[in-house]
Amino acid sequence: MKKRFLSLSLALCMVLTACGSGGEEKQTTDGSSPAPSETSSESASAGVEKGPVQTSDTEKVSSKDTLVVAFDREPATLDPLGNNVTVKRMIEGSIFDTLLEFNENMEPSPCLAESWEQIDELTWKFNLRKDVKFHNGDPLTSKDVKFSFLRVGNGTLGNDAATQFDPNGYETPDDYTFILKTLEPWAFTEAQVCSEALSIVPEKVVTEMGDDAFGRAPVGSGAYKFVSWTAGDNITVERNDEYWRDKSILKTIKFRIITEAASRTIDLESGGVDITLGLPTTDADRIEENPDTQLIVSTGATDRYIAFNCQKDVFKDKRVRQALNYATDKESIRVVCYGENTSETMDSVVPSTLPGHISSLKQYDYDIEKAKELLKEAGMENGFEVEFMYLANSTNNMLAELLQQMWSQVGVTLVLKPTESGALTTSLNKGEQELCCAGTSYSLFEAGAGLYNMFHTERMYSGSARSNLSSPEVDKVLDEINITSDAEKRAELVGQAQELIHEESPFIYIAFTKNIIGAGSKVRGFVPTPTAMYDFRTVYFVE
Amino acid sequence: MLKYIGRRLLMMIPVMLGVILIVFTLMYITPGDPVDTLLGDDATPEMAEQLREELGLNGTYIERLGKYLVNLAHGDLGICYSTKQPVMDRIIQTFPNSLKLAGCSVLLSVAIGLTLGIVSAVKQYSLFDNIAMTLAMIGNAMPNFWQGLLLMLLFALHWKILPASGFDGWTYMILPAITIGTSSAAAVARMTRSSMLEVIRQDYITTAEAKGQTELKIIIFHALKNALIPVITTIGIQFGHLLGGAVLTESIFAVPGVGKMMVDAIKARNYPVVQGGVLMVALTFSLVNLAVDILYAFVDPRIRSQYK
Repeated sequence: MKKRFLSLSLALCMVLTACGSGGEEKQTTDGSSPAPSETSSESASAGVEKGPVQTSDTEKVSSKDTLVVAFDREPATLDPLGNNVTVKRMIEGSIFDTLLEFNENMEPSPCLAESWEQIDELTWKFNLRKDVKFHNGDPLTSKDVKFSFLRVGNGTLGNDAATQFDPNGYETPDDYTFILKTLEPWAFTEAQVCSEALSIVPEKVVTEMGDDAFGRAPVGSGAYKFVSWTAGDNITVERNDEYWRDKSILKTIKFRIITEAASRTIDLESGGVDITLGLPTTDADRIEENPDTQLIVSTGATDRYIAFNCQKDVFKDKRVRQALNYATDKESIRVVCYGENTSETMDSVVPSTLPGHISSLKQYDYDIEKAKELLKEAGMENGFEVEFMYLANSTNNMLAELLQQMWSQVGVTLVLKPTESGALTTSLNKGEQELCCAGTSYSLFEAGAGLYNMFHTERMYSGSARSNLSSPEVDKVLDEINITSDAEKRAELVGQAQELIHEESPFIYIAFTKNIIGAGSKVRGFVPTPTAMYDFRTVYFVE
Repeated sequence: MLKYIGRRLLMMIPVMLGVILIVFTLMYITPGDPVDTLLGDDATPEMAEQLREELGLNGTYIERLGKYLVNLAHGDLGICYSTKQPVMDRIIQTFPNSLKLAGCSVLLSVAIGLTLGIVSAVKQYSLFDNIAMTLAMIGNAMPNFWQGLLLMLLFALHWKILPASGFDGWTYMILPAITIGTSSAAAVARMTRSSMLEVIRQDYITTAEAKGQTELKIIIFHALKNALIPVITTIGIQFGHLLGGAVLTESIFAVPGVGKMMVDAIKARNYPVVQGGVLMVALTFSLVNLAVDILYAFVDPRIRSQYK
């Protein structure tokens, strides 16, 4: 995801870097113009709890021009056609551009399309910039946009970003106008075209190379050009000097793949890595205390919850779900498992950073007596046994043991089933679990889109629907959200949906987790975002 | 000799078939579906079904195994589910790194193991012997992943003299090579010690001493040469362990080797890559064993005479 709102600071950074080249030392602040990171953090202060270190008067811009970013996994492909994994999206975000992008308020704003309008309830018209070139020098035209949308729509590799669009409805009246039609009225069109999954690829290059080869050596129009991919080790990109807007300050970014969390942290501390994304909560204090590193915490858009499988006999009665909600000391679990400062209390299924979030829901506060009462009403006062399936890692193990102890007080025996990731996903997709621990990221930054995937009957047994809730009332509201283009009205409906879902109690809310990033102490200009998609154009080093 | 090598190579075929059968069966019965990992959370059931069909995952166990064996007979290890590259290409990319690492570890373990073993045997029950053998016991007992992190903390974090992870040059190999080489060094040291102790009590050593040879000459030319057979066997077996042991170590040190490739593939249920990787490790292990057997002939004239 890119941040157009940083253009001013970026321009300043560029000037300063240019001045600082050739070994000449240059102070980053001269009193009249703001330092790069000062402007950056001001414009992106929303949601940032522990911002990056600011550039001080005495600091000098370093000539170091390679940034090393550590990731926890290797993407299978860099083709937008493939599935939507965060790592892949992040690297793609640096190589490709999208028609629109989220601004600092997480609202769709111009990117490749300099303007756009909704013509009727199904049709959208995008006017493209005329100065955009792909890395091979070819101009980016509406034909490439149509090609990119069509191939995602026809794709079978888990990218569902174009399923709401009519494949016969794409039009290119001229080289710089693109028209798309949705199959039905759909409120999230603008948010969807911000997604990296709908990045624009060059038709000619993809056709010549073929999908698989393109995915290993992609060509885009983004701020960085693909350089190399050493399997299992790193993916390297370098600055696109012909970029149509503010260019990256640093010349090279090396995305390193370090699967072990402990190794990632040690590598950051020892200086082998400049930025580590997805730092384990348990390492946060260590990174904060270390003078060689800085901890950056920003509010995210991610839920952590325990999901009852509502299709299993034991959880069909919502009183049982509510009772176990009362029997869970959610706040203790949050603090122990997700950290006091690196997470916040979850009071609704919609994260507090999203439009439509309501904080007025009456919570199921920890109350053993109330839990017993409800279980009695449901005829389950003699207790029962439930299997809890979760991804085997230290955080979840802790959570499971706490839950096991808490529920034993109301006569519920929790059988723990820590499972390895491959087997877990398959079991959950089949709905085999009774109870599981899961999380959801609202990547489109639209509560309605996320809620639909999690709670609509249509999406039962799919990737995000871990509770497999089926409620006609909830479905009705979610359907309405989907077709409501007025943002205010939509937020109101999202509020209604939260109330209905809360009453059904398909989840035990545990935490809204924050984005925790570790960076070297010399890194400046990094801008945290709630979506956890980062633009590295403004990043630079000080001496 | 050639006849012997030919016979041994032929015997490797059933071994490889056994390995394939075991790995294929294990992957087949392991819960989990590669399609779930490949498609991510946004996939529709139709996409999943289509991909399952494309990858040939809908066939029965016998159909899939038969197809795999037929392809293998044609030298085709299959296509990696995620990157769509031929598995052979992925092995070619990663195997040299593992081999380099295993090679370094063997050198390290032989250098340390032989030295400790010889000195311990010659100075039996001395303080050096006791310390060396205690260290060997600790080296053998330490789990790889724990030792790896410990070394990283010391050398990369506290002293900042070596890189923590990656594979960008020879300095990157030191920590992982020590990590996987330590237990082998311990095994070699213990084997060398006991083997040497047996040999230095033989009459021909006494004869050599009586002839007035120096202690160093006696140890190297008379004792060590005769004590080497069991040591070579240990080194050969350890080499296989090093390739296998590298599975964890490569993940910890982010070494893009065949071990890390297999771990990632197992997590994603990327069957062809797991099978190809295991097959390659098994093949190397068998070849190293063969090389060890041939090496006996060079070390021991009695064995050489049997080949004639």
